Amino acid sequence: MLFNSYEFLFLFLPIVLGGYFFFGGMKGKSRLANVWLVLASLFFYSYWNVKYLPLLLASIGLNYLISGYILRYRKAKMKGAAQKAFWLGIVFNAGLLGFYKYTDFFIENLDLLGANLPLLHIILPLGISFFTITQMVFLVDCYEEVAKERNLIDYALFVSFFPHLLAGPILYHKSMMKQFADEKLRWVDWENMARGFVLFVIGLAKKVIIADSFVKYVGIGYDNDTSTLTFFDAWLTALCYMTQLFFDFSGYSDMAVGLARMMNIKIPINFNSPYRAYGIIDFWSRFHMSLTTTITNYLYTPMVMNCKKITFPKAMLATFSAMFIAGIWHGAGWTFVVFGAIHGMGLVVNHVWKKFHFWMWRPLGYALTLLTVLIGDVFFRAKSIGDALNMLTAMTGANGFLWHPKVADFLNNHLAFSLESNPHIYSDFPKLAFMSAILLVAFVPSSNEIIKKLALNRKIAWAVGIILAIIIMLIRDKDTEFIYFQF
Amino acid sequence: MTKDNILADLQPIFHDIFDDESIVVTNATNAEEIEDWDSLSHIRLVVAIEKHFDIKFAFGELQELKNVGEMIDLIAEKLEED
Repeated sequence: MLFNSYEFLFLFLPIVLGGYFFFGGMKGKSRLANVWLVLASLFFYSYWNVKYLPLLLASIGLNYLISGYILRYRKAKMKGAAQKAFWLGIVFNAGLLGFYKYTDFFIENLDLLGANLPLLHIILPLGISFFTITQMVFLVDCYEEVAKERNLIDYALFVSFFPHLLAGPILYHKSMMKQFADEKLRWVDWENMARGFVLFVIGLAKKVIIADSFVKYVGIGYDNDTSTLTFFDAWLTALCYMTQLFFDFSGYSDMAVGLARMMNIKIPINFNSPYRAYGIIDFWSRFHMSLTTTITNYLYTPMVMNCKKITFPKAMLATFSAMFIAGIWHGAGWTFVVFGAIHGMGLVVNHVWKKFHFWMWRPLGYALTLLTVLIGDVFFRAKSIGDALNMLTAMTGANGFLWHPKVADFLNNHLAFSLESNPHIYSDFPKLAFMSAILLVAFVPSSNEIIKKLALNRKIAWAVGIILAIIIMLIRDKDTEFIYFQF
Repeated sequence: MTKDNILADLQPIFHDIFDDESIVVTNATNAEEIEDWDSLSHIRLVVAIEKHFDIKFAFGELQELKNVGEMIDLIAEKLEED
């Protein structure tokens, strides 16, 4: 089920909230509220395809079982046995993700090397990358005795909680369990309800009003013959996708945080005005923040700590490797390998620059950050390396320039230029959405900042109501999926 | 060891890691305030604290350590366990 669908807005959400607070208010039985949320979340997941529900349940069940052994062995000071159970769990999760996500990619490449194996055409179960990474992190927390609470219902809720199940933010066991155990959080808090709801509507607006306006134009650029692209349409397509990606994913994340907040549950924010970042290090501390935190704490840090002596080059190697793995985690394909490598290199260059205090002109630093992200996003979106290279070639001007007819006519007539033009490449460009998006990105505070400071009064209520009405009319004939659901 | 003592012990560790004698660490200091506090210096900081107090942090606790107040609470908790 998508947050931006009528089923969710008019049926699922009101029923789930009503049930949650109804059970939550029952004296002595308020734990039923958590059972209710688990059932609702499993329904939410099955609504897409019930065939994959057993997979989700098996993943939750097995991880719960294994974590029980890890904790028991740890308590009994049997470190070796705990370690074995831990690695069994890690291999199980990595194997599950590996099978569903990377098998076909692996076969494809073997075929390129001369093997003649048929593809299995495995469909990626929704959310598997997210619920796998969440539980791998959980196993580490068990092994290190940070995650101690044992309760199957709360554990199932921690993994399947519908706001975050499909595309994050990635949650940590300790902070969630504390909240799921607190019965006061199962009573309606109108301030949280209001602020959570406004955040949800902001996220919905980002997705439905802005991000979805770019789908068509981006598709025309990336999904047709990319060798016909020229300078302007290549730039516009690349910029449109970069904008779409941010509004789509941060819109989804705002909705997730907002929904959880309506139920008095705090989950970490995922975005903080990333396109205003100064440097790639700063960019990743503002973009998909929960992934950055996870990768830093559970992948990069162990790699660095494993060195006897921490040196700068070793730390840089770890930085690059962690980002590279994060890139491949996004998807099985060479384009994601390159995406990871570009950002890995970006981080390393940024660290070197900082360490040696090299000079940088500040506006140039901002521009280079955005340019690196833009190039990374070309690989992120393109269907193949070839397509991505075509796009980048066109962006250098090597494929010529086709101007907007008005500009070309003006310059040709008044300044005796002989510029070529083509109206078609501009006809689907979403001017209004693009201009608004740029203004929003440049001048408006992040949605979480807005929510913190928002005065809750009648004027705001009206404004939110009107935005919601517009959204509801816009989603009537199209509820499009979120980009991050494919990962 | 009281929390004030821990804070006093942290002062020179911060000066050393960030190579800046002017830093005054308080309970409210966090990673956003100190410009050089990035992923790399965070690890060096964590390692230095572990060594000084003879304690060990879990990967799942690294996030809490981005804020000096929480960091002190966690150190105090670990020192008590021993």
